[in-house]
This record gives sequence, structure tokens and C-alpha cells, in this order.
Amino acid sequence: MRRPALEDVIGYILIIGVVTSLIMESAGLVLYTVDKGTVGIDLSDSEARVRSRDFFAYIIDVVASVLSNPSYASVMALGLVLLMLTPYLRVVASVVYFALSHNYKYVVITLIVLAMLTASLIAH
Amino acid sequence: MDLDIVVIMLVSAFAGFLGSLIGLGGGAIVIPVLTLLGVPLKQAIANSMITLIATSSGSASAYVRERLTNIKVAMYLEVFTVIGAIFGATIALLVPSRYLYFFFAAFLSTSFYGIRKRMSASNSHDNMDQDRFSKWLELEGTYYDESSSKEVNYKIVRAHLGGPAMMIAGLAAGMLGIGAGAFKVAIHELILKMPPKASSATSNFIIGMTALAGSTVFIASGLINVVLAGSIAVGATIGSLAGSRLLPKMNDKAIRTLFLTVLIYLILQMVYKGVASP
Repeated sequence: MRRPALEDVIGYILIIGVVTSLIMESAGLVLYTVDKGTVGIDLSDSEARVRSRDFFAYIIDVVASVLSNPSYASVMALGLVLLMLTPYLRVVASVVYFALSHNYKYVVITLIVLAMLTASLIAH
Repeated sequence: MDLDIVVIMLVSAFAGFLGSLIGLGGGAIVIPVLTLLGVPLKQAIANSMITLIATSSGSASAYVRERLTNIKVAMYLEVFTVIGAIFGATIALLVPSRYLYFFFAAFLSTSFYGIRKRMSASNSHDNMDQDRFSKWLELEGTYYDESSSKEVNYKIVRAHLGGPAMMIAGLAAGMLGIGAGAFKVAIHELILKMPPKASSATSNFIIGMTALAGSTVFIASGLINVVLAGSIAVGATIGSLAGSRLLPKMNDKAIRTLFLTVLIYLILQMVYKGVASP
């Protein structure tokens, strides 16, 4: 089987990630309005606040909370997590692609980007 | 004005619309407007940065499949812009807001480059010999230009200067929660000698990564509010899609006048807020 072009793989990762995320955000906004009975935004609402010390542990928490007790906050947090994973996955896809093409120069370059993002995601 | 989902979505849609008409992304417009609505600056920066991933990746997806985006150039430059954005976002959390207002006003002024570019026709393309480093990095590309119906081949030069310059762009982007698209396009065209269409498409692609790098810092800060971020993301994406649909039909002069008016107003507002903040 011929390997699909990197451009197509990345193009689909980006569009699928963004569309899925925006659907969850929109659904969350509807849930919020129904739940609170208002469209007003309360910036001090702690339920709506994202607090992620370790992003990858946070992903597991958010998924677990959507499955066990879906609320506007968990659905929208999942939407934001998917949004952040979208460019992250396109770097992962690039590393794999350059490795399969034996372009080790670019494997190193893409791995540097991936390592910095990963470190920053878990180091706070 | 009270902060609510409808107002934030409308404002973000307008910012996304205007941003995509002028080709700069909406972050630079949405953040000052959010502060006018009473959102604290740092919160506006953090929530707008994460939504930039959505607004930039939507159009990036189309450009990359049309082969306008140069992925190797982007990956090389992202090494620098990611470092810059992580540092920039960390600085944003540490410095007092009043300095950020001034930085913001100063950075908005770089948007005038985008306007100047729209006014002049396509820039002349002088041929420079490719240096060894840029050649080693395999930085070259080809795309099909629909307006002139021919293939455009180009070779990138001075990658050793473009990288560090992109670190500064990333620093500003991370610190202010914006894409810094005008600045990135300027680096691509003036230093790397990339043709305009490839340059805009590649800049748009890199903005998504810079936004992720900044967001990796902000997501741990407690400044991100899912309702605020969600409203901006949905509004700005609708606005920028509408803008890119309407772009071919719009009168260039009308766009410029509208954008200049908004830009000057926002710069004055940010300077005023900086002076007035404690």
C-alpha cells in the first residue's frame, strides 16, 4: 500500500480535531445555558476553571468525568483538550512520517519540537 | 457591559471576520475588546491563545492539502517559535499587566506591515544563492499559483537568521496571546525570501503550534475558563470562515479603511489602559 502524503495526513488531523472540538464546545455552551438558566459568564466560577498540573493526567480526569458525570464543564474541558491535542498530534504524525521516509535530519528536528511541548505540558 | 456568551461570541466573530479579511488572525483584535468588556488582560490573553489553535488550524488544513504550506520550513522554524512562546507565556504570567498593555500596543503597530503589503502588488523576487545551511535543511518548495496559472519554485535562504528571528516572534506571541502573523510573514518574506502565498500559508500553520506552546503554560495557570474560551473559539471560527468566504468579493480599500480605524482605536485603548492601570 502506498503511504499517503504527509500533507494529507496533517490536513485531516487538523480539520477533524478542530471540528470535533468545536462541536463539543458548542454542546457545552448549550448545556451551560440550560443548566445555569442564563447566558451570563461568571469568571470566578471555579467549576469552569481549567487546572491542569500534568496535561496527560488531566486528559484522563476529563475523559473519566465526561463518562461518569457529563456536565457543561467536563464536556467543554474535553473540547479544549482535543483542541490542544490537534497540533500536538500533527507533530507526532510528522515524526512518524519522517522516520518512515528515513529522513533522520527531520526526525531529530520534529522530535525536538515534540520534546519541548511534552515537557511544558507535564512540567507545571 | 455584562459578560455573556452571546456578547463574547459576537465580538469574537467580528474579530475573526476582520482578522481573516486582513490575513492576520483575530487574537490581536479580540484581546483588547475583551479587556474593554471587563475581562482582566491576563485572562483575555490565556483564553484567546488556546482558541487561536481552532482559528488557525481550520484554514491551515486547507492550505496544507493544497500544498501551499512548506512543512519542512515550518518544522524548522517551530523549534524556535515554540521556545519563544513558552518563555513568552511564562513572562506574561510574571510581569504586571500594565507592561503587557504597552507591549500589546507596540505589537499591534506591527500590523501595519500587513496593510502595506496589501497595498503594494506582489513583491519583486530577487534571486539569492541558497546558503549551505538552508540547503542542508532541504528548505525549498514548489506550489501551483492559480492567479498566474504556473508552478512557482523557490529556495529558502538565511535559515540561520530566520530561526532566531522566529524566536522573537514566538516570544511576543506567547506573551500577548496572539498569532503575531504579520511579524512571521515579514520574517518569511524579508529574511527567508519565501514567496507571499507560501509565506502566509506557512505562517498560518506555525501559528497553531505557537498557540499550543503558549497554551501549555496557560493551561496550568488557572486563567482558562471553559465557558469564556468556548465562546471565543466558536465565535472566532465562524467569523474567520465567513471572512475567508467573503474575502474575494470585498473591496480592498474598504477592508483597509475598516481595519485601520479599528487598529488605531485599539492601540489608543491599550495605551490608555496601560497608563490607567495601577
